[in-house]
Amino acid sequence: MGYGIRLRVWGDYACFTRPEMKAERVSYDVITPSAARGILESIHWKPAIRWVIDRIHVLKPIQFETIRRNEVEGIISARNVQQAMDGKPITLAQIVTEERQQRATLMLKQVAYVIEAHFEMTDAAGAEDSPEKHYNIFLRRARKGQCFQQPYLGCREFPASFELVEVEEAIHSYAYTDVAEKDLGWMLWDIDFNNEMTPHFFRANMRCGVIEVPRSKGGGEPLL
Amino acid sequence: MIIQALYERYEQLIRNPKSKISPMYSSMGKISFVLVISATGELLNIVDIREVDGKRRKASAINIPEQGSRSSGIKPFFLSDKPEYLLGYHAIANVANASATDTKKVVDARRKYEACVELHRDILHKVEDDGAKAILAFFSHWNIETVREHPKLQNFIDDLDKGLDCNMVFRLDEDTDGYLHEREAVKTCWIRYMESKKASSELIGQCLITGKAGEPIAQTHEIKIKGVRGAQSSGAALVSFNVDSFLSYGKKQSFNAPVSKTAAFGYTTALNHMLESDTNTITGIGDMTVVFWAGASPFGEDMERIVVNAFNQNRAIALENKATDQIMDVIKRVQQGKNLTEDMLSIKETPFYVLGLSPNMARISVRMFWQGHFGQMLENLNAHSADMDIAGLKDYRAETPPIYRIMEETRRVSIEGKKVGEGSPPGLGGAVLRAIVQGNAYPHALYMSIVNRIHVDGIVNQLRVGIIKAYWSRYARLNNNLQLEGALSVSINEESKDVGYRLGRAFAVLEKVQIESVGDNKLNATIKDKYFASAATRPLAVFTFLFKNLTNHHLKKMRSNGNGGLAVTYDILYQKILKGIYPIPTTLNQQEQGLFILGYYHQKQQLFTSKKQQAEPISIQEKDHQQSSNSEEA
Repeated sequence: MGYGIRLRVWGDYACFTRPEMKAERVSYDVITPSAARGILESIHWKPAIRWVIDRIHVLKPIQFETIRRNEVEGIISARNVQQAMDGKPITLAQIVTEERQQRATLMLKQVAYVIEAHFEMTDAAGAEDSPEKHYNIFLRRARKGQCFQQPYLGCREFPASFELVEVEEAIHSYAYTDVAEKDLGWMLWDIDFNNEMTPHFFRANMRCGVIEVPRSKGGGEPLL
Repeated sequence: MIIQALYERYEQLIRNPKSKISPMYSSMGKISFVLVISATGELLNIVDIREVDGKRRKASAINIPEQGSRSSGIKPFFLSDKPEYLLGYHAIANVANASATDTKKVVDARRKYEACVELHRDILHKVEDDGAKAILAFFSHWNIETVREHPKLQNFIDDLDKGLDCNMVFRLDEDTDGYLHEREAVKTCWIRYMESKKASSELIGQCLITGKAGEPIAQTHEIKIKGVRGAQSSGAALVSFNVDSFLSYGKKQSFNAPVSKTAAFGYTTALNHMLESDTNTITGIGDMTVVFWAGASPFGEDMERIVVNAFNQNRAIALENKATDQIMDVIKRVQQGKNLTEDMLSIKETPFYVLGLSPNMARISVRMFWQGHFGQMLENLNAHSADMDIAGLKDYRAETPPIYRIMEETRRVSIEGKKVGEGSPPGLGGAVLRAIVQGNAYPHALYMSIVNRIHVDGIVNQLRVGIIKAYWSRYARLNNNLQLEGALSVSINEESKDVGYRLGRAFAVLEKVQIESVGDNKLNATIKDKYFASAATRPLAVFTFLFKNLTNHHLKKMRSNGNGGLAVTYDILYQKILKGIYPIPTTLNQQEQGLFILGYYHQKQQLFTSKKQQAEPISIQEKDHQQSSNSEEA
C-alpha cells in the first residue's frame, strides 16, 4: 500500500447518523469509515485515486448531547428543477412554515480522531498520475490546511478541523488506551455506489482506542 | 447500539419461558371478549375476559397472531380483531332511518367483515384441523344482516356500541384452556403464511442489526411502539421514513436502513414488552419515557427493579427474589468503596442499558441512551446521592431524590404552597437524567432555574439547596477545582472563606436577630422576604443598609428586652463571619450566589436546630412552604 497518511481531525460536535435513526437522528459512537473518507476527499481527491481507510484512532471519550430543531419535510423534485432550467414557469420555493418538521438529534460532542488511510490508483489514472505525485499533493495541502470544501464530521453543520500527523509523530492521549476491547456493534462501512448504492456494514471493535477497518476497496468502488 | 441492544434483549427473553414475550409472528394484544364456537361453527357463548380494575374494566393482554399497523383503509387481522371485522358488527341500531354517515358505517362494517372472511379462507382453506374448520364454518353460517339481534351478543351490546377496547378472539368449545389461534395446526399454518410473506421482500441485503447478509429486508417496521407517553396511542415508530427529506440514495421507506424482517420484529417486540412492564419503565421525567434493562444475568430482574426504584420512589416495587441479598451486598460494597469478591464481579459487570424516548407525533426520538455496567450504574447513582446530600434530611444518602421531585422544584409556587403554572421545560428532565446516569455535570439550566426560583419566591428548602450543592460539587470535581470542592459541605463549614458562603451565613444571622428581637409570630415579613434576592446579588448595598438601619435597631431592642447576652452573641457571630471578607463585594457572580444560598441554609439550619435542641429539624418542602406562607418562622 505504500503511501499511507495519518490525519488528525477534531471538532466540537459530530453526528455520524445511523441509517436506521435517520429521521430522529442518532449518531454512531465514532466516525464511520465513509465519513472519514469524505474528510480526506475534501482535502485532495482526483478521479485517478481512491481513498481506503485502514484504521481509526479514537482520542476522546464518547459523549452525547441532544438538540431539537426545525427542518423541512419536503424535497424539491429534480424534474421540476429540470423544467425550470428549460424555462418553464415552475415554483421551486419551499414554504418553511408549511413544511416544518421538528427533529431531534442525539449527537457526539468534543470528538477527535486520527484517521489512518492510504490511496490506490484507479483505472482513470493517466500517464501523468503517479502515486508519488498524489501523495505529495496531499501532504502539501494537509500541512497548509488547504481543502476543496470544508471537511465535516458527519453533518455539514459540524465542521472538522484537521492537521497532518507527520510520519515520525506519535499519536497520544487515547481516552480508551486502557480499554482492551469495546464492541461498537455493526457500523456502516461504505456504500457500494456501483451496485445500486447498497450499504455494507462491518463489526466495529475498538481495541485500546483503535478500530481496524476491514480491507475494502473503498471510495465507492465495489467492496471486497 | 440501541436497536442492537434491544434485539439482544429479545433473544435473551425468548430463551426464558417465564418472560411471556411474543414469539416470532405473534404480538401482544389487548383482548376483551372470547367468542366460543362449536365444531360446526355455531356461536355458543361470549366470555368477558376483562380484568376488573377498580370501577373500570381493563382488557387482558394476551399473545395473538402478529398484527401490523392499521392506519387507514381496510386491513383484517388473523383470528383476533374488532367486532366490525370478525362479526360485521355496527353500532347503528336503526339501519332503516340511518343518516348518511351512519349508512356509511354499516357499509364499512360489511366490507371489513368480507375482507376478514377472505383472509381467513385464504389462510385456512387447506388446513386439516377441527379449529380451522370450525372457523370457516362459523363464517359461512354467520348472518351479518341480523348481527345486532343475535341473542349471545345482547349482554354486551352497550360495550360494543361504545366501541372501545372490544377486541375479540376465538375459542373452540372443546378446548377449555387455549384459544383457537393457539392450536398447533393453526399456529403452523399462520407461520407458514407469514414466512411466505416475509420471503417476498423486494430487497435482500445485509441486516444492519445482526450483520447477516442475504436477509429479506423489512420495507416498513410493522409493529408500532406503544406506551411512550405523548406519542400516538395507536403506537409510533422508532424507525420510520415518513417524509421525503428523510430519504437518500433514491431508496424507498425502510430500505434506507436495511433491517431484516426478523430483527425488525425482535427489537419492536422487546421494546413493547418492556414498555408494558412497571419494572422496566418510568415516565414523568419531562416528556420522556425511560426504559431500563439489564443484560443476561440470573439477577437481571432485580437489578432493573433496584434502578427503577432509585428513580421512582413514590411507587416502590417489592424485591422478592432471593438474589436480592446478594445484590444489596454489592450495592453496599460499591457505596463503601470496598473490593468485590469473584462472584460479585459478575453482578457488577452485567451490562445495563438506559433508553430515554420522547414522542414526536408518529415518530419516537431517542433523547438519551446509556450503556454500561450495573456496577457503574450503582456508582453513578451513589455519586448523585452523595452530591445531593445536605443536612436536614434524616438519611438522604440511603436514597436518591427522584428526578421528578428535582424537576418539581423548578416550577412556580403559589401563595398556598402549591406548584402552579407550566411544568419544567421538557428537555431539562432528560438532561438531568443523563447527568445522573452518566456521572456528567448537571445541566446549567437546572441550576439557574433553581437560583431564579429562590430569588423570586424566597423558598430555601433542602432539595433546592441540595441541587445547588450538587451542581457545584460535580462541577468542581469534574474541573479539578479543589478549592471549590472543599467549600461545599453537607452541613455548615465554618472554615470556608468563600465570600458568597460567608455572606449567606451572615444574612441568616441578621434574619435571626430580627426574629429574636421582635419575637415569634409578630412579623409579617422578615428581611429575608424583602432583601434575600438583592443581598445575594448586590451584597454591598444591602448589607450596609441592613446593618445600619435595621440590625443595630434590633440589637438595641434585644438589649432593652433583657436579652443583652444574646445580642452580644449574635453581634460577635456576625462580625466573626464577615471577618476577612471586607470589603463586601458590590456584586456576586452566579457561583457565589449559589454558595450564598448554601451558606444561608447551613447557618440557618444551625441557628434553628440549636435553639430547638434538634428536636425538630427544618423539614423539606411541606414545612418550608408553611414557613413561607406564615411569614418565615416569624
